[in-house]
Amino acid sequence: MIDCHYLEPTTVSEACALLAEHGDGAKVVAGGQQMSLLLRNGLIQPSHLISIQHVSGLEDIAESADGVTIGAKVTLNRLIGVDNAHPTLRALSRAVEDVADQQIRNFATLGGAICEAHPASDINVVLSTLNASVKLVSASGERVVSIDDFVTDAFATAVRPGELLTEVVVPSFDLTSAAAAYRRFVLRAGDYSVVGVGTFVSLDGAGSCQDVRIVVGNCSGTPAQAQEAEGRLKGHNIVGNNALADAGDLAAAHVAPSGDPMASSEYKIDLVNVLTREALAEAVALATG
Amino acid sequence: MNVVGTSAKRIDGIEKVTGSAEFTTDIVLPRMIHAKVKRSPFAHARILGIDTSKAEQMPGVRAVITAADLPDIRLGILTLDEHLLAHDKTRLVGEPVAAVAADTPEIARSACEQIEVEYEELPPLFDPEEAIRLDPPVVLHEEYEEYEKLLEIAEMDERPPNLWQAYRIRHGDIDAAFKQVEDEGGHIIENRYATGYVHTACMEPHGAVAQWSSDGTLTLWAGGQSPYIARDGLAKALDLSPSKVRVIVPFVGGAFGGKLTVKEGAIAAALARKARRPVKIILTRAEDLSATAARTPFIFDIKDAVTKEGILIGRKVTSILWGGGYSGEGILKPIFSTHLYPGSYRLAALWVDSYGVYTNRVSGGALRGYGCAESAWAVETQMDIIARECDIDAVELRINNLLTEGERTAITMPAHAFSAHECLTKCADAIEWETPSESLEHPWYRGKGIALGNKYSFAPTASSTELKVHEDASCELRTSAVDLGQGAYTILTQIVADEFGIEIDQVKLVTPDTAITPFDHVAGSSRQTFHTGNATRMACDDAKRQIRELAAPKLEADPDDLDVSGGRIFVKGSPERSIEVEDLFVVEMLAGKRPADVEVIGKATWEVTASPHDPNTGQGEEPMAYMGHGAQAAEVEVNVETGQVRIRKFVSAIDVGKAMNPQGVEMQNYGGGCMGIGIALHEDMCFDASGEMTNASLMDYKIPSIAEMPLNEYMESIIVEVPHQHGPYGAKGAGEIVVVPTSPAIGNAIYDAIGVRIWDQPLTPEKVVKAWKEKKAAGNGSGA
Ligand SMILES: Cc1cc2nc3c(=O)[nH]c(=O)nc-3n(C[C@H](O)[C@H](O)[C@H](O)COP(=O)(O)OP(=O)(O)OC[C@H]3O[C@@H](n4cnc5c(N)ncnc54)[C@H](O)[C@@H]3O)c2cc1C
Repeated sequence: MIDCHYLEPTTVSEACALLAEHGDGAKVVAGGQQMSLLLRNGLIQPSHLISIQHVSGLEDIAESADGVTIGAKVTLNRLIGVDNAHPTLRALSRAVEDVADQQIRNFATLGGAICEAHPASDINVVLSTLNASVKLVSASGERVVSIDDFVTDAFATAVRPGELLTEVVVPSFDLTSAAAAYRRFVLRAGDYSVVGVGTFVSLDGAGSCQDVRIVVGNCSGTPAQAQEAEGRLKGHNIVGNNALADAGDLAAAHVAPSGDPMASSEYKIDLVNVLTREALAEAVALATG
Repeated sequence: MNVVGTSAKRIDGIEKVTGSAEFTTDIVLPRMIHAKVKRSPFAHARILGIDTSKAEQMPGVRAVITAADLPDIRLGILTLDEHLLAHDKTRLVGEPVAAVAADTPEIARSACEQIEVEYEELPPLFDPEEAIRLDPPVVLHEEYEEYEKLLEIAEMDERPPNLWQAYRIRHGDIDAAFKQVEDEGGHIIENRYATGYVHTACMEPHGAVAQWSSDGTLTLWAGGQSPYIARDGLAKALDLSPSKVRVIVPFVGGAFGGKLTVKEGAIAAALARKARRPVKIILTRAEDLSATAARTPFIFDIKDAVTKEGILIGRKVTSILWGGGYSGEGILKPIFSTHLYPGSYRLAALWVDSYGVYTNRVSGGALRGYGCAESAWAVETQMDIIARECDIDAVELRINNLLTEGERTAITMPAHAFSAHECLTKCADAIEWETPSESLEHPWYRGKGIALGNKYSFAPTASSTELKVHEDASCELRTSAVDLGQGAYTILTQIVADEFGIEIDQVKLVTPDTAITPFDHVAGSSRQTFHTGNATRMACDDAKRQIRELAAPKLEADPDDLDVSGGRIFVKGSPERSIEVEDLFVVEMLAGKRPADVEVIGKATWEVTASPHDPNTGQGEEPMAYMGHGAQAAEVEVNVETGQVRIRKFVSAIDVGKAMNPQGVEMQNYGGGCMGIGIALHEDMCFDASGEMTNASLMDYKIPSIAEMPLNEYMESIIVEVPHQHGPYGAKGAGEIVVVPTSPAIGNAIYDAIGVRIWDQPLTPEKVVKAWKEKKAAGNGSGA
């Protein structure tokens, strides 16, 4: 039986005060999609559940010259199609289309998806690819942390007791010469990914790669940057040659995923190769198109 | 009024769609409490002691039971090898060891955690090929020889200690067949196939509600497949006379073979007796998936002798059913699976050794197709390989080997209403078999595959029904046939409406309740339309005979000259000489109406006998009630880099003898196709090294979603109707044949697309990639 206090603050500061007051036993609940599983399976026994359902001001999506800011409570379904207004979010918006199912996406929040820190999270891989960061607010102040620093391990984050994630910032980039893409493989629609790969490329007019980022999901506890593969591309001409295939090989050569009953390590490595190449090809096509 | 043969609306449709249909979980009785089961964490362990004292003292706990509270009786379908609660040993993870009834399910669950069981861990045995050795590393049932057994197995010089089933077929001269092929330079084709662990994973998990009345009668509500098998099982488990047990079957949310017995119902009943209160038990999804019977794997070694012309003349099969801790409902699978070895083909010589063994995993149960869906995987893949080896078209090769009407298979099953040819050719036409699949751009490849199947319906078996006629000419059918979702209630209603020439809404069904409804064997083996359908027609005839006899004096005619239809009785040939059914009923003094002859209740029993087959030769007289036929074909798209397999098009051509309700048959074709696709490509119960299932949730056990299915317009259902001489209106069943050819059709299509075989189900993306890479490494080029 689940026996805890359920609190419903209406402002960020109220929520932070409650978090501070109840310490370690307090847990935030947003859409509840992961939280309800944790509770049902007895994996956590919080003394206080602090629902942010009624907290105002966490549902905006706003764009400035620096980038797009997304409130923690924006639901995954709301992110679908959001790239029409905010093209910077194209890869995120497309990735979210395949996450879970309609009913889950109606409740699941972006903040919850990030804080869940599932090793197979598609969202954290895309956000890492986009160099996004999150804002954490507590009774004693606020700080901004990059996604890479935020996700510390499988199901582990840099959130400190008393902190609330309030927004995500995706920095802007030159949409005429750069693009991001995401590819995933699932065994069945609605499943967590077996492997996901996010790519970001910025090209000059001659097809030379100015900047690149490749992030692999579900091959370790956190989204993992494929630096060797990036090294193969950065500063090189990558259009119309073997570069992308090489990058796929390199990305695959440098991951060491653990196998699970549904997919062996070897198979995941194969997928890293294929998905890296495909995600790069898509990003290149967008950046040059 | 021709109601049979029309797509009459499901009589349970509105109730189910509006949520008013009552399932076991909806039943609430006054003072009812809730049960949870304490299960073994070990695959193999000796129980040294159980301390329930802490659990018993918890507030809200009303009863705790262990084996000590139950009669020391072993249960089983034919080999009685299993206690309701583990006695001295546990033989699989999840085996019930104790149970608690408490005010809430949560209290019962915490109380289970407070039960202390002292185990001595024993080495577990998981590998069926080790299990079958004469000197296995582990013996599961040391007292096997003392168990009660209701079935003779094949003679053996020495029984491997973990073996519970052995069956042989010796038909024709097998050595001569292989020699002939060797001499003339034909083909000898030998392969090993395996199926996987599959669960029925019904939408409704197992559950029951048990209540005792003061006269010592037990009433049990449980969504099972057979109220009478449940009744007898409960009586046996609790050492009661069957007449002291009443089983009522509410609506059932799917069964597929997984709800033949009601073990959890017996646990609830034992708790209810001790607590003196009604007890409800509903398994959690994790318990349902990991601790109720599954379709356990088979290993098949097949060796075929094929002439140069592509005629199969000899087949040798050795198979092992990878049973679990107990023989369970899988007990007959090593026998019944052999029906597909001859399948629908003429086979001069057939040699089979078929075994079932104990291992420390989940017990083997039934799942749609009972053994045949498994053996079809081996046989129909083998037929595709033979066709390619002989360079003959796969449809043509099958046709060249088919039996003809009136022949018997190598296991003496008559080929009657033999529609294999028609199913196969209609299926081939629909998938445009003659036209090769379009080429796609690498890494995608397309290919087509086809497979044939058949499904026996077992015998001996019987169904009884009663048909009461009311004064408003409406009819009430009392049946213990169960509607599991397959539409049985609608079909039976259609039959009564048809026989009496009345509207469907003038037929009322009294659904399974062993205190009221007569014996029906089981909603299984595709038998309900065939057997209960026959019994229903006969009960209608009996009731009509009674009506004619009552009406004869009033119409001054011979009863044989009368007919009953549409609520009227009339003289054949002169319909103006008629009376209403109502006129047969007389007004009684207390304003109740009864027929002049007290009651019009027709009753009938339809029975099909069978001669037992010799377990040493597999030969006998007619072994089964009937055999249904069907073919399926798939066009797949395979990505050789990710291994993804998409079903582009899927066709089922299924012979049902007579489509009693064409839409119902279509639903079987579609639903069965989806289930078969899941079994072929996705579903796989996984176990860790300790024998525990690691994917006991619907998130991890991959039942395919609608997104894995072909688009509507690419899912095709073809109904074939070749009437069976004994079927009601010529009908045969359709429930199981629809999953029999599915896996090989898909596997053959994958081969057509990329030129690789995967021998063990399910055909997962990972296996596709591995097979493709192996093929590349072997330097076989691009295959497509
Ligand atoms: C069946 C299923 C399939 C899924 N498939 C996918 C998939 O394919 N890809 C994918 O990427 N994800 C997938 N998910 C994950 C899903 O996206 C997340 O579970 C969901 O987004 C969590 O959001 P929520 O609002 O429901 O969080 P909750 O369940 O409410 O919370 C999740 C966690 O985050 C914490 N938390 C929530 N909000 C905040 C906040 N503002 N500040 C601090 N801590 C917070 C909670 O304390 C909790 O620990 C799937 C989930 C399910 C249930």
